[in-house]
Order: sequence, then C-alpha cells, then structure tokens
Amino acid sequence: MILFSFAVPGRFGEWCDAIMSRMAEAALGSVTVVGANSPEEMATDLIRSEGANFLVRGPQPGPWLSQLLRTTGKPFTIALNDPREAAFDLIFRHGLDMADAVRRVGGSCASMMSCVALPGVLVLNASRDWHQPVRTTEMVARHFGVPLDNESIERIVGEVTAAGLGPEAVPPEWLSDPSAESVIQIIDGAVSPYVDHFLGAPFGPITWSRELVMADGHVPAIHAVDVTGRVRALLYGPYISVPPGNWTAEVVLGFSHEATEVNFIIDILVAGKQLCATSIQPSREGIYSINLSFVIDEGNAHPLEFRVVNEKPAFDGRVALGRITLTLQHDAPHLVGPLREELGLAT
Amino acid sequence: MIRVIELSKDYPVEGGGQHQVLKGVSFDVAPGQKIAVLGQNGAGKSTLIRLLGGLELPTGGRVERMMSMSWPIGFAGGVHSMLTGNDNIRFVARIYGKSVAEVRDFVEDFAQLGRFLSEPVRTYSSGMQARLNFGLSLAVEFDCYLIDEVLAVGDSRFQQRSHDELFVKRADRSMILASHMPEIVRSYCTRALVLYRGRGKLFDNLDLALDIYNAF
Repeated sequence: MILFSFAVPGRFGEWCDAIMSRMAEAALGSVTVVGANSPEEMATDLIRSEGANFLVRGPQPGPWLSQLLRTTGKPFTIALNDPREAAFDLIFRHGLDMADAVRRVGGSCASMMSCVALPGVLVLNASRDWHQPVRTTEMVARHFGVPLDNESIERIVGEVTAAGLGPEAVPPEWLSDPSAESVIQIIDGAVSPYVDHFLGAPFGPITWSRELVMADGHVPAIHAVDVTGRVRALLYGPYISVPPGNWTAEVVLGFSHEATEVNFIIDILVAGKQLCATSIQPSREGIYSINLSFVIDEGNAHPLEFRVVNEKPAFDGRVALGRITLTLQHDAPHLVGPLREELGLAT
Repeated sequence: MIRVIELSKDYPVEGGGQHQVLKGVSFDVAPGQKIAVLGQNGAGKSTLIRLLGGLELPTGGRVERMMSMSWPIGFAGGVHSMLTGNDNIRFVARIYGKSVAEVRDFVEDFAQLGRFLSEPVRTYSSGMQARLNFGLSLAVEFDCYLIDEVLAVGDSRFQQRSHDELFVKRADRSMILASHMPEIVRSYCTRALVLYRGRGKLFDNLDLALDIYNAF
C-alpha cells in the first residue's frame, strides 16, 4: 500500500508525518518512508526497499505527482500550517537563514495550491486539526481506509505528543525581540497571500523584499550595488516558485546619477528560460517602478529568477533594489474569451 | 609616492561658460608602479598628463609629488622651436644641474639627429621633434615618467631603443602612460586609470579596465 502525505515545512507537517507513519505501521506493519521530490527519487526508494508499504511524503509535490494523483484519484493528505509560523519554525528550530526558510515555505505553498482541489485530497489545517489530534488521526485513517481502533489511535497520538511534536508556539521572547519585527515583515510579505488563500480569500500580492534577493558577489541585496564592471547580473533571485497563472511584477529600483549612463535589462526566468524582459536607461537619478508581465504554466513548479543586468561594461553608477511585488491577474472572462477566440487560442 | 587629490580642470568655451575636462580625479602612484591612462579622444588623458607634469595648473584639487616627475615625454612644449637642438640641450641640462656634455652625448646617441642638432627645432619634422623631446626627457633621471602616447614614434630601431631605455633600464621607475594600445597597456602596466566624462577610476584588473574602456 502507498500512502501520500504532503506538508508545508514546519512542526505541523512533522506532526502529520509522525501520525501517518505510526498509523500505517499500526495497521499495516512496517512502512518505508519515500521522498517525493522527483520521480527518480521516488522510484529509486521504492526499488531499493524490501517493504510492501510506503509512505510518500514531501513539502512540494511536483507537477508530475499532482497529475498522477489527479488522474488516479488516489487519497492523499495536505497539511497546511500558517506559512509565517512555518517559516519562523524553520528559522528558529532548524537554524535556516531567513531567505532559505522563505524559499522552502513559499515553494511548498505554491505547489500546495495546485493540490487542494484534487479529487483525493484531505486538507489538514494546523489551526483547526492540530489541537484535536485524536479526531484528526481518526479522520486520516478513514480517508486512507486504514483500520484502526480507538485505543490504537490514542496510543499513536500519545506517542507523537511525547516525542515533542504537539502544538507549540514559537517562543514569545523571540517574537518580541525588536530585531524580529523586520524579519516578520519580510516573511509576511512573501507568504501571507497563501494564508489568506488557504482560508478561502482571493490570492493577494506577494512581496519579495531585498533581503530575499542576491546582489553581485552573492551577497544579500540589502545595499546599493556598484555597477562598475563587465556585463553581469547585478541583482538576482529569489528562487521561489509561484502558483500557475498570469502574473505582473512591479520592480522598484533606485539609480544613482552615474547609473543613468547605463542601459539595464530586467528579466524574469524559470529554469533558465526567459519569461519576460524589459530594459531601462534611467533619464535621471531616482526611484523607478518597472512592470513586467509573465505566465507560469500549469505544471511549471520551477523557482523564479528575477535579474537586473547591465547591458554593457559600465564605468560607474549604483543601483539598489526596493522590492518586487507579484500580483496574480484574474482575467475578466468577457475580455479574455473573445480575444482568445480571435487569435485561435485554446479556450 | 604621487598623490592626485580631487583633480579638476575647466577650460573656457566660446560664448561663455566652462567645459569641465576633469572632475575630481583621485589616485595614488607608488614607487615603481606603472599606471596606464585609458580614455576615448577628449576624455582628458593629455590634460591629466599636463597637470601631473606641472605644465598647467588645475582648476581644483592638487597633486602631491613626493618623488621627482618628468615633464610629459614627447611633449612638444618641452622644447623651444626657435632654438637649435643643442640650445635646448644646454637649457635642460642647466635647469636640472646636469653636465651639458653628458646630456648632449645621450641625446645625440638616442635621437640620432646628427647635424640637425645645430639647426632650429622649427625646421625639424614632427618625428625629429619627438625624438629630440624623447631624448631630452630620458637624459635626466626621474622617479616617475609621464608618457603621452608617444611610444609609437620613429622607426622600429628607434622604438626598440625607446622601449629599452624606458622599460628595461628604468624598470624600477614609476610611469603614468596614456595609451590607446591594449598591447602596450598589458605589456608594461599593472594598473589602469580609466577616464570617462571627466571622471577617473583606477582598476587593478587591466582586462576589466580595457573591457570598460572598449565599451564606450
């Protein structure tokens, strides 16, 4: 038997994984845990295993797996935690730096969005289900058709709680640290749209602050970058995936007086393929807002790379990143339909 | 050490106003260091060389000379055109306290002007003038030589002689060398000052400096 479980990184995901592992062992005997990061990883783990029961889990089910789950209708679970708390947990408990934590959580949430409407899904929500562990475990067992009695369920819940995986807030002293406020804002901007969306609200703008982007020299882009030098990516990153759809990106950049002598290319790539590009040679020093539009296709889960590149070797000048704001466009059907028909595009 | 501090130079233009050729250029030259000066025509290379050599005064900033500096090698203004070659030799020798005979012997041997040394400089061809200037410049020993795109004058024998005098016999001296020729920059210099729109930036990476210079 193969069970599928996906979770936004963090303690709730770990709790769900632990519940599912023990639940499967209790009902089926030994269970082998298999990664779901790629078909190759999954196939390799399955082939190498001697077992008959498997728990396939991961933070980011790839499009290939989502498609398989869609077509087969197999049951699976998605464990959703508040992405902000998930990011804090990765930073505080696992010692990840903020950008890495946001990358992992953002990428996971983006892939989860594609899965929440699949036929075999059971969505577990930390705010509701973590605090009712017995009921949640019963629900999961029923979803997979795994036979478990109440005594077994309570024992499983007790073991997982004893292992320290029960709900626990990030220590308040960390959150009340003045230096945490800016980190909270950065994380909030990058992942809070998923919070709203998982609660049923429309998907709001994603904001990537400069701390998530890299500058020439592979350092965080928190300072202005000296443009002097050869053609190269002056700003790049943040390598976070976003859900499929039509997007606009607003990039806020600042240019020094000397940078007005330079032509800059701003583009967005996925898996090395340029999705959109524009250029700017600022007419004067100052702050500029540059807009780009791009499409992320269904099945494209690769992280996004935004770049600012000087078109020619530059003598002087500085450029600074303000922020990048991504907005998912919701096409007006009465406009889109006739246009697509006129162009002979699939509707 | 030569210290150039926020050097600026303006020239008046017809109709009023000023054209700022150099804007706050700063850099240092350590003993033995050879620096190329790169820039498109009109970027201010020759102006910079003249300011460093003391032939003109800057509009702003200053040059601190803690070592002896030549006048720009090959600079035509270093000789008086109404005087003969020999008169110019005597003039330079006396200014720098050198033996006239020694300076004359060197210049005669280096420039190969023969009897023309007794003729007024205004009768020389441009190549002959450059050879006289070059010879005079090298007849006096300096800690730092200023060279303004003059290394390509004369025939191949003269160019070889110039190369030997400057870069072999005086390999331990500092040089500030204005040039358009990448092979000269790469062969002789360890750093490059790129001039662009009056501003100057010093690069330790010669290839990078040449890439930026070529991009203008």
